[in-house]
Amino acid sequence: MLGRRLVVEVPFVAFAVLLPFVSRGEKVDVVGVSLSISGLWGAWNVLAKATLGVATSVLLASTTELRALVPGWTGSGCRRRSFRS
Amino acid sequence: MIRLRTFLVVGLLVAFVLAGVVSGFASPAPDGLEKVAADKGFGSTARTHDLDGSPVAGYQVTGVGDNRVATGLAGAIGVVSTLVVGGGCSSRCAVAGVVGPGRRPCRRASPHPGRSDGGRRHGVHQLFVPRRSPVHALPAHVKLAAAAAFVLVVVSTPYRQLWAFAGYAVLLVGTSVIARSRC
Repeated sequence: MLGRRLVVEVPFVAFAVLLPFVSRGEKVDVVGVSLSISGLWGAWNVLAKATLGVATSVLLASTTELRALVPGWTGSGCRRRSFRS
Repeated sequence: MIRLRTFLVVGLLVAFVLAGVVSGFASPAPDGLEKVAADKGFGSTARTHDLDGSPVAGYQVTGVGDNRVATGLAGAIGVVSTLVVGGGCSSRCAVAGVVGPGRRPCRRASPHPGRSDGGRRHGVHQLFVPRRSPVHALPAHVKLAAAAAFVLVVVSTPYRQLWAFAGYAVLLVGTSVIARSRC
C-alpha cells in the first residue's frame, strides 16, 4: 500500500540518481564507476527527505478523511483567532 | 470536447515538427543569456558542460555531417525521451491511484456506480483507508499539525546526521504500524 503510493516520488528519485554522475568536485571510485562525493550526499539528502515527506503525507491521507481535513483548522482555534484580529 | 487520442496525436506531431524540422532553422545568433553575458563582460566565465562530448551534446547528434539533420535528430530524441520519462511517470502514478483517474489494480466498490467513469474522478478520496485504529481516531487538526511539524523538522535536519534520519524512519514506521492496528 505505502510502496504503491510512494510512486509519486519517482521523478525526484530519477533526479537524485543522476546527481552523483553529473556533480563536480572530489570523486570516489565505486566498483569502477567514478562518482562525485558531493553528488552522493546531495542524492542522499533528496532521497531521504523526499521519502520521509511523501510517506508522512501518505500516512496522513490514509488515516484522515478529506472531509475532516478541511475544517481541521477550525478545531485548532486558528481560524477564530484570525477573524478577531 | 477534444478526444484524448486526437490531442495526443496532434500534440506529438507539433512537437516532432518543431523539434525535428523547425529547430534546424533557428537563428545562429547567441541567445539572451549569452548576449547579456558577453555585453556585461562575464561571457568568458562560461565553461563546457559536464556532459560535453555525450551523444547529443550541444543539441546535435555527434557524427552526423549535416548540421540541420544533426539538430533535428537531437530534437526528435529529446521529444521521445521526454515522452517516455514523463508519460511513464504519470501513467504509473495513475495506476497507483496517486493522481487522477486511472486503472486500479484492485477493484473496489465504486462510489458512483451509475457514472460512466465508475467514479474514477473521485480517485483522490480513495487515498483514505477506512479503519478503526488509534491513529484514525485522532482529531484531524492534531494529525495535520503533527504532519506539518514533522516534515518541517525532517527538511531542516542537516543531511549528514544519519542517525536522525534513522530515528525519523522508526517514528514513521511505528505510526503506520499503529495505524494498521485496531483500537
